[in-house]
Amino acid sequence: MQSILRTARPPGPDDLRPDLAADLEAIRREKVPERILTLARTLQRRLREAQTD
Amino acid sequence: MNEFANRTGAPLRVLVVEDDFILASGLRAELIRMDAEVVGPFGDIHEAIQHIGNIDAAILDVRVREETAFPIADCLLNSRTPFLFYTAFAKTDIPGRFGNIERFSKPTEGRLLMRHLQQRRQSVREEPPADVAAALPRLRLEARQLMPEDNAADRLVEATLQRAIDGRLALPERQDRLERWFIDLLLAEYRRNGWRMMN
Repeated sequence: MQSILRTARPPGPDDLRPDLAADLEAIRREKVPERILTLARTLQRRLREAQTD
Repeated sequence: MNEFANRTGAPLRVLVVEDDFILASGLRAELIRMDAEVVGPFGDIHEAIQHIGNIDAAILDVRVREETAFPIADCLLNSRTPFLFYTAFAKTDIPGRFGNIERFSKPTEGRLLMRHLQQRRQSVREEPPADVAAALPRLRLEARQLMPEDNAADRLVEATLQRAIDGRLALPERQDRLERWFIDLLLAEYRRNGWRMMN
């Protein structure tokens, strides 16, 4: 149990470095590789299932 | 009919964390009279935290012996379990990340506490789940800070998502926590296997 307490991390402020904001915007405009999208869909499905359990 | 039943009609399982014996006993008796199933009361956060996966709601004192109940509150936020603070602490003494969590001062009638938890349960059910795809750009950006080229960075992102799937890890259901959670997982994956994905 001690380890759970140690690893529980409170959400801090968004710590994106200001100089990376433009890079993030560029990535948003990029096409996401299909393999990553497939994995993300699997996780999204799991989240929905967890919500309806 | 039980006013405070969960979705299956079973009594609401309420975790109580309170280290004042008299207050805890009184609260427990009140909740039981309302047909709630009381988990606890616990005067030790390390004991209480073990029950988080198995409750419907929680009532947390803030100061519990020499510690605070904030680690429990963080876990409850992650699992979207409704809870409230039942405390003499002022709102300003409670970290900002719990700004949406209601604080009730002592003593408050148990029925009011239960009504509040029931309302929170209703609103949590109506919230949409977090959007995994929306977290991807930030995750890919973080990976690019670690890896020498973009393809390797995407392999790290894939491995991170795959680990979340294979490990059947419980994802935070709130958007603001999901991104941070993914980044932590990405860093762990980088430390473990990043070198394999360099080329």
